Amino acid sequence: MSANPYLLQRARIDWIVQECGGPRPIRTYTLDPEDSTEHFAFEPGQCVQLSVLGEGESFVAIASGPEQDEPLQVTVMRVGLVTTALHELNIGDFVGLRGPYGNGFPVDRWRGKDLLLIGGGVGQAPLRSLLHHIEANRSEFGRVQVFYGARSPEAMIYREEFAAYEAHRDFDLYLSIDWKWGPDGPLDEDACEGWARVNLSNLRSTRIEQDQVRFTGFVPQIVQAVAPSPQSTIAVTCGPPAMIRRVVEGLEGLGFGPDQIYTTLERRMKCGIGLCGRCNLGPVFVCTEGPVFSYAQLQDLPEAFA
Amino acid sequence: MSLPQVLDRHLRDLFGSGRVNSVLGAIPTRGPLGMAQLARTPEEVERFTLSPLACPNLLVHLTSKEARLDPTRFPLAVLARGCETRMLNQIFSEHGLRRDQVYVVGLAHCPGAIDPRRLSAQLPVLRGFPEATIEGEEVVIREESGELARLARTELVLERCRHCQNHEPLIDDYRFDLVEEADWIEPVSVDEDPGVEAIDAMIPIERWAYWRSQLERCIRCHACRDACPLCYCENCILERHTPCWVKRSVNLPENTAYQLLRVMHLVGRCTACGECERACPVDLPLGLMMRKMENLVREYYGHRSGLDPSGEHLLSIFDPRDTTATARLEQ
Amino acid sequence: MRMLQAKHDIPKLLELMDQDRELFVPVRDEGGGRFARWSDLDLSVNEDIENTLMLAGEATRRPAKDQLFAETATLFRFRLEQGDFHLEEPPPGPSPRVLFGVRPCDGRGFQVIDTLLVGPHGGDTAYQQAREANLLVGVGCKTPGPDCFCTSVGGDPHSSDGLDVLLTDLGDAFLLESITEPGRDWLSGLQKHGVGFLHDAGKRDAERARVAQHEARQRVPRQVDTSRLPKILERSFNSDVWATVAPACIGCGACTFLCPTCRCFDIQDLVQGSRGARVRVWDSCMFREYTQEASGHNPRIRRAQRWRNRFYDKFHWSGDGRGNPACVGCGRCITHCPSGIDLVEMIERVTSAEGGA
Ligand code: SF4
Ligand code: SF4
Ligand code: SF4
Ligand code: SF4
Ligand code: SF4
Repeated sequence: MSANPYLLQRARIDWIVQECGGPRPIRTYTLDPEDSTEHFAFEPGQCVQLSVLGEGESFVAIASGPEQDEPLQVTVMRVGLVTTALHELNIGDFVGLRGPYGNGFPVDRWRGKDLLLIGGGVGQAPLRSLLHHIEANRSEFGRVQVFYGARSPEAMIYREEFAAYEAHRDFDLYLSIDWKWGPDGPLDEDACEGWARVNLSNLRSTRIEQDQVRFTGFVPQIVQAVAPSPQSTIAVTCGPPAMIRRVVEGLEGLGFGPDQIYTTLERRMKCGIGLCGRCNLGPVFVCTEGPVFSYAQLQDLPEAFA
Repeated sequence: MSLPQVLDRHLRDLFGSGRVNSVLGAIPTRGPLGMAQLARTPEEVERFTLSPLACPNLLVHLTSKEARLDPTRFPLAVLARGCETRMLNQIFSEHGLRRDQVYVVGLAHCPGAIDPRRLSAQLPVLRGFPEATIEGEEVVIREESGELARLARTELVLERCRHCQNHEPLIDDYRFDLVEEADWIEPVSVDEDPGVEAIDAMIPIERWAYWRSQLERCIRCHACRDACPLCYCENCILERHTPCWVKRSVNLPENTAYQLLRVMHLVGRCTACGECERACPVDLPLGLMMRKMENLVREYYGHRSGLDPSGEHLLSIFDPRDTTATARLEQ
Repeated sequence: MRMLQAKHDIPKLLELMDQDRELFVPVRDEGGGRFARWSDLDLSVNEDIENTLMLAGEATRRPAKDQLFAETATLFRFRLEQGDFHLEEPPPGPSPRVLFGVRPCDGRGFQVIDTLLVGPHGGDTAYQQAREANLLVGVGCKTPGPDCFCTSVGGDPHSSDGLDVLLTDLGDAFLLESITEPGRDWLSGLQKHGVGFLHDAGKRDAERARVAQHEARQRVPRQVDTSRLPKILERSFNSDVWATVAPACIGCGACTFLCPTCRCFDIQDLVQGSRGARVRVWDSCMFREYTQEASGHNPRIRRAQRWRNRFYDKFHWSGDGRGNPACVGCGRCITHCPSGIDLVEMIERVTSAEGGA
C-alpha cells in the first residue's frame, strides 16, 4: 500500500513580499520546507499544494527557479478561503506543503530555441520560474522575449526584477498596462506617462522604438504590435483564460503552429493527485497531466477553453 | 397522449403572437413520472402531457440559476396547477420574477398528481411510457400493452395533494380545465394535520430523538434544495466558502445545521409543495418538516405564503403596531 | 470451494461470521435500505431473515460503496498552535470486516472505483485500507429490481467480479462459492466452526445454481444497446443532443450519491478548538460549485455541461479497467432521479440522435 498521499510537511515562511495591493492583493512567500533537508526539487511550471491548516489547501504554481541556490517561492493572490487565510500569516509562521505536482514545462525540448514568455497578472508566477531557469542557463536558449501585462503600473508583480532585467537587457522586455475603456474605446486621459500606446486601428503598424519597454494596451495587442517571428520559436503563455485565448489566436495569426504554443491551465483543484475528479478535461486531469499543455494537445481535449 | 387541441393551439399561438419565447411543460417518460421540458418552438409543444404522472413542480426551471443564465427563455409560459400558481404568487411577491415575465396557463379543477414512489410501490416494473387517467376515485394505469391496474386515487396522489386547498389557479392568463367537473380529494385540514399533530404530541426529548433519527440518515445530496423552486439565492449559504457556514462532512451536527439553514431560509415563503420530500433519495420526512414550519408561521404571524397575488412577503412587512411573535419577542 | 447453507440456519451463519471479522449486512431502513453493522442491529433473527436483510428483491437504495468509500473519511489529524501546526499519528486502519450480501453491481462498482483510488496515481490510502480490510461476500439477484440493466453493461445478476464469495439462492438454501483466495480461506475457516449447518455442496447443487443464475438473467427487466456508445461518444461531445437530454435536470446529487461507481470527493478541514482533521467528503460533478474556481470562473457552469460530463465519465472516459463502462447498470439513478431522467432512455436518445452519421 502506498503512503498516505495527503500528508504534508511543515514549511516556514521566511519572507513575504507584498507585490501589489487592491481588492485582490498579491504576495510572494519564501518558504523553507522542513523535511526537505536537501533542495526541494521541481521543474518550472510545476505546482505545490499549500495548506493553512484548519482552512484547507490551495494548488499554486511555484514562482521560483528550480536551481539549487534558489529558495522556494510561491506567489499567491487573495481570492478564496485558503488564500485569504494565507495572507493573514506572518514571517515565521508555518504552512503545510506537499508536492511538487503536475508536469512542468518541457524545457529540455526547448533548448537552442527562441522563446516568447507571455504573462498576465498573477499568471506570471510559473513564467518567472521558467525565466529564472533560463537566466541560470542563458547560453542554452536563443533570443528570449518577455511580455508581461497588468491592470496598472501598481498592479504589476515582480517589479524590482523587471526593473533589473530592463537595466541589464538580458531579455527583450515588453511590459504593459491595460487600457481603461470608455463607451467609445480607450480613454485617452488614462494613458500613462512613459507607457507608449499601440496603434489600435492597425496593431502591426505600431512603431516600436529600439529600447521601448513600457506600453499601454492589452497583452495580446502588444504581442501583435511586436509581431515576433515563429521561426524556431516556442511561445509560452500564462494568465487569465480570456487573455490566453486572445494570445493564442494572435500567435496563430502570426504563423505559430499548435505545437509551438504552450500554456498552463487553471482549474478548481482539491486533491492535486488525479483522484478527486473535478479538474478533468475529458479523461485527462489537469493536476497530473497538466497544468502545462501545448495548444496541439488542448485542441483534442474537451472543455479546455471553457 | 398529447395535449388537448384547444390548449395545443393556444400554446402555439403564444409563440406566433410573440407573447412568449418558450413554454415550460412536461413530457412523458418511460417511467412513472413525467419530465420537465422547455419548448422553444411551437412544434415542441406537441410532446407535452397533462397526465397526472407529470408531477415535478416545473417552477424550479423558472427560478433556477440555470434559468438566470438563460434570460432568452423569458417571457415564458408555464403550465401551472393551483399549487404552482400559489408558489408563483410567492415568487412575484418577493420579486424573484416579474409578473410580466411569466404567462400563466392555469390548469383548473386539478384532481391531483401521482406520486411516483407510491405508484412504484404498487406497480414496480413500469417502463413502457405509462399513462394514467383519473376516473373518479380511481386512477387507471396503462402501458402500451394495455390496462395494467386501477388503483385508489387517495393512495396514489402526492402528499401535497392530500393537503391541497388550492385546486383552482389563483392567478392565470389563460385557464384550462383538467377535468370537466371539479372533484377533489377532501383535503387534510390545516388545523388537524395528523403528521403535525403527532409531532406536537411529543415531548421535546422525543421530538429531538425523532428528528435526530431522520437527520442522521441524510446523505447531503442537496436534492431538497435543488428541487425547491424557492431556493434560488445567487449565493446559497449552503455552498458558500467564505465564510463557510456548513461543512460538507456528513454527520448529525452538520446535517442538522444544513437542514435548519434550509428551513429557516424558507420561513414565510415555503408553500408546502412537498418537492423537497419527493426529491429526497433517502425519504427524509421533509414535507412534514415544512408543514410544521408553515403551521408555526400561520400561528405566530397569521400569514400564509402565496395566497394573495398583491400580497407582501412576510419577511418584508414592517408594522410598528405589530403584535405578532417577533414583536412580542422584542419586549 | 463450494458450500451449501440452509436458509433457516442463516442466523447461525451470521453469528459465526461476526466472530473473527466485524460483520456488515444490508438492512431495510426508512430510506430504502443500506449496509449496517450487524452487532448494532436489534433484529430478532427468527424473522424472515432473507427480507429483513435485503438478500432478495430490490437492492439497498444506498449502495455498499459507502462502507469502503465513506461519505466522510479522515485523511489525517492535526493540532493547531499560534501560526504553527503539528500532524498527529494516524489511527490504525480498520479492523477486518466482512460485507455480507453485496449485490453483484455493487461488487463491480468497486472495480470501477479501484481504477482511480487504487491506481494509477498512487491512490487513496483510506480507501485502500478499507478495501483490504473488507471481505466482499456477494449475493446474486434472483429477482432484479425495476430499473436494473446490468446485463447491458457487461454485468450479470450473478456476476462475481470484484467479490470474494458469491451466494446463489437455491430456494431453500444458498450455495456459497469462493471466488478469490481470501474468499476460500474465509470459507474454509467458517466450515471448521460451522459444523452441523454448513455443508459441502455437491455437483447437483452447482447444477441447480447454474439454472437459477440463467433464469435470473432472463428476469433483468431492462436492456439497452451500449455497444455503439464508444464510437458515438468519440465524436459527439459538441453535439446538440446534450441540450435536449439535460433541461429537466435540477443539478442535485441524488444520482451520483446513490451510484455505486461515483467517487468524486472534496477535501475540507474540520476544527474544534486547537484540534482538527482533514477529511475527504463526497462531492458530485452535478453540483455547480464542484468546478467553481475561487475567482468566480466556472468551466462547467451549465447543467447540460455537467450532465454530459457525467455521461461521458460513465460511458467513455472511465471504466472498470476490464473493457466495461463505468456504469454497472444498477438503475438507482433512474429510480431516484426526482426529475424523471432515465439513463437508459437517454442512452437510447443519444444513440438514435447520433448513431446515424
Ligand atoms: S397540490 Fe393540489 S393543485 Fe397541486 S397537483 Fe396536487 S391536487 Fe393539484
Ligand atoms: S434530499 Fe434528503 S438526503 Fe439529500 S440533502 Fe436533502 S435531506 Fe439530505
Ligand atoms: S415544500 Fe419544500 S420544495 Fe416546496 S417550497 Fe417548501 S421547502 Fe421548497
Ligand atoms: S438525480 Fe436527476 S435531477 Fe438530480 S442531478 Fe441526477 S439527473 Fe439531475
Ligand atoms: S450510473 Fe446509474 S445505473 Fe449506472 S451504476 Fe451509477 S447509479 Fe447505477
